[in-house]
Amino acid sequence: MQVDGTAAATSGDEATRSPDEPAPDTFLVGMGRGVAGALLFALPMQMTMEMWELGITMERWRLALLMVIAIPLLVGISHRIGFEDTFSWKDGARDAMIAYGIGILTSAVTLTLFKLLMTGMPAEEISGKIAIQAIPASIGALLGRSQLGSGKDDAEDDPQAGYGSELFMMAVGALFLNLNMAPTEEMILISYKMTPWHALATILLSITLMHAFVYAVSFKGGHELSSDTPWWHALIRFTLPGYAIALVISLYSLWSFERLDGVSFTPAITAMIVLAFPGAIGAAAARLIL
Amino acid sequence: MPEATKDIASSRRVKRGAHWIEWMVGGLCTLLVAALILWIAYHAVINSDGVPELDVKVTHQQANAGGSYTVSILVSNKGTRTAAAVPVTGTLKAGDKVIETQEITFDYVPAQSTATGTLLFKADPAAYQLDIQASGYVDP
Repeated sequence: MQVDGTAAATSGDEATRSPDEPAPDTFLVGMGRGVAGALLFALPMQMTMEMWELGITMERWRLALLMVIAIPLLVGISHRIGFEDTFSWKDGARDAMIAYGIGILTSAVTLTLFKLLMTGMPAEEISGKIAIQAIPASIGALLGRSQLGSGKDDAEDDPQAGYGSELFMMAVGALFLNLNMAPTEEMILISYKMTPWHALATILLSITLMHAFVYAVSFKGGHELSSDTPWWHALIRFTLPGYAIALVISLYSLWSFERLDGVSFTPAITAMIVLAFPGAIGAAAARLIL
Repeated sequence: MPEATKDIASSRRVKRGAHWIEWMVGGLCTLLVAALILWIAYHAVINSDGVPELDVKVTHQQANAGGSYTVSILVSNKGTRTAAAVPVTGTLKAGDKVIETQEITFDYVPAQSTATGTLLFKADPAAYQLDIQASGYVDP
């Protein structure tokens, strides 16, 4: 009986609602997906020791810069693939900020759960620890809101999969894997173990895999080369820019997490190549994951 | 509906006629990646069998309020290989007599790079002879 009453109330409610305004329960489901996405994507980082330490030790202006850069990034993702009802930049901005909020809240809860946040701690430590986790968590929240439900395939009916948008999605994919890995010591350790020959092989393998992933193998959402297009057209127009994006994002992540301080040019470049390997895979797979 | 799907599918293909911006971006990125490969290859040829060359310098000394003394040091590695777990030992001596020894360990001193740290002494380093050296390293 109770159920019937609720159903009637809901349908009556919906009748007075404008079509582009989601019902409250849709919104709650969206929030639930957002939380699930945030946990799914950010838990590996929330359970990484280096990320807790960075929350305390990272220079505040680098952290602030990262938090500011996250905003246009989130708006861009939201506009491109976000929540089903996102059509305008205004809606995109709203969804991005909701995702950011979900990211901050879920990070605060999980970090408290792991006893990494306690009442006696200085405010700077608490805010720093939450802030650094909030960025991957908010990207996760945004992806979760769009991906963990409804079964709608954004790649199929996206109206503007232009060149810039392709490159942007590759950047998001690269950033996503890089945020996971850049804080860990293993990235620089691997680069120190490598000889330049290993670095060279890593570059070539990154490019080959990237090209194979999206442009040769016809994955869902990937480019299908028309039969008369030479393979090197896609290599120059998509794979190499994608790899360059992965390199730049690796460099930014490493710098941001203070892995390059005092390091000279060549070791920094080697570390960038190491991190750009997962970055390249992330960029190439972005069309599959996102 | 099938027609619409077909349109989208074909618009997602990499076609021959691309915008000039795509070729410009592609060209610049190709140059960037080529430069990266050449740089690494150059280093691979000239110094793939290098060793770390460690050097320790005192950059700053001061007395702290608590009665201890701070000696800031800069470890530089002029070699072409990274040194890991580098212990740096500071010894205060009066003639042959050792007054105090302090040691810190640097996780990494990357190739052709520097790392900074600080030794804390109880005795005033200015009053004695201060001897600082890196006493070894681990290959990463």
